[in-house]
Amino acid sequence: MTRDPVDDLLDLSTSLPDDGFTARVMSALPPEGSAPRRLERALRVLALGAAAAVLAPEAGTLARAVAAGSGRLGEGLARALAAANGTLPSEAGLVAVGLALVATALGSWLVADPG
Amino acid sequence: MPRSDTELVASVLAGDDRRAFAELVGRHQSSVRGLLRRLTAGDAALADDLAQQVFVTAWRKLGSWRGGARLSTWLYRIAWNAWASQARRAPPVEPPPPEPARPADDAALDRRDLARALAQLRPEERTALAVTYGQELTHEEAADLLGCPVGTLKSNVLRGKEKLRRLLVPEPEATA
Repeated sequence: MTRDPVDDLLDLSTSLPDDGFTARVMSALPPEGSAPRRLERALRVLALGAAAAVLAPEAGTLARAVAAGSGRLGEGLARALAAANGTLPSEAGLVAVGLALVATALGSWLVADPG
Repeated sequence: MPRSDTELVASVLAGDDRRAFAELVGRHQSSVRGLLRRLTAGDAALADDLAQQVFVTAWRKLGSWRGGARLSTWLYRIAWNAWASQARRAPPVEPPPPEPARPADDAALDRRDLARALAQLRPEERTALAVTYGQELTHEEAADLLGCPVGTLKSNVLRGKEKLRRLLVPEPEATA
């Protein structure tokens, strides 16, 4: 039984040599150890919040905002970590969680002693 | 002994293992690039740009791969989405003018001829041929990938093949 010449043509080997393609893909990946963009944004918010808390004269009012914000921040960080699908380096994850805990503690302390 | 796709994926997810991911890319680059070359009617540069995009997306979303399906099928879906998205953005490319059919004894119908002929098919015919040849997909998997009934896929394959036959295989000369 003869094969359809079009079948033969379509079945031409699809094996393509790598020709540096894998290296090209690897160089396009985010750099090793870099945190996802959402996490970076969350950390920037944390830094700004901390700076504002230190500088503002109305520490009591700000303290409540920090306390509330840190809760949301923790939630955001958890979401960012989940979105990273486990590709986030563990060091960066630990730093992020540590910072969130510090923010929460700072907020709670300021609320407890606003004066 | 080479590690399975599942083991390599687990290694990537557990420890940002780039060597394991490079092994996955090396293992699947040919079929993903091949699929995209067919979808882009032989535009190798565009196909490779899209293929790079496919693997970068795969790196980011590797955690969402369900181990039950083959990794290649998952990659083809990303490739299909990347191509469909690109095709929506870019205007359709005018197919190149057909070349005169070669004499029947010239068996060297090469990739360039195929690409030229594929470019003259309707998009759904080209797509159906692209996913059913050379990708080790069953008709059911291919239809699922394209989101169409199996019958529609088969019709498009048949019509596409018939057009290719007319374009690529010269009619035998009538004997007097």
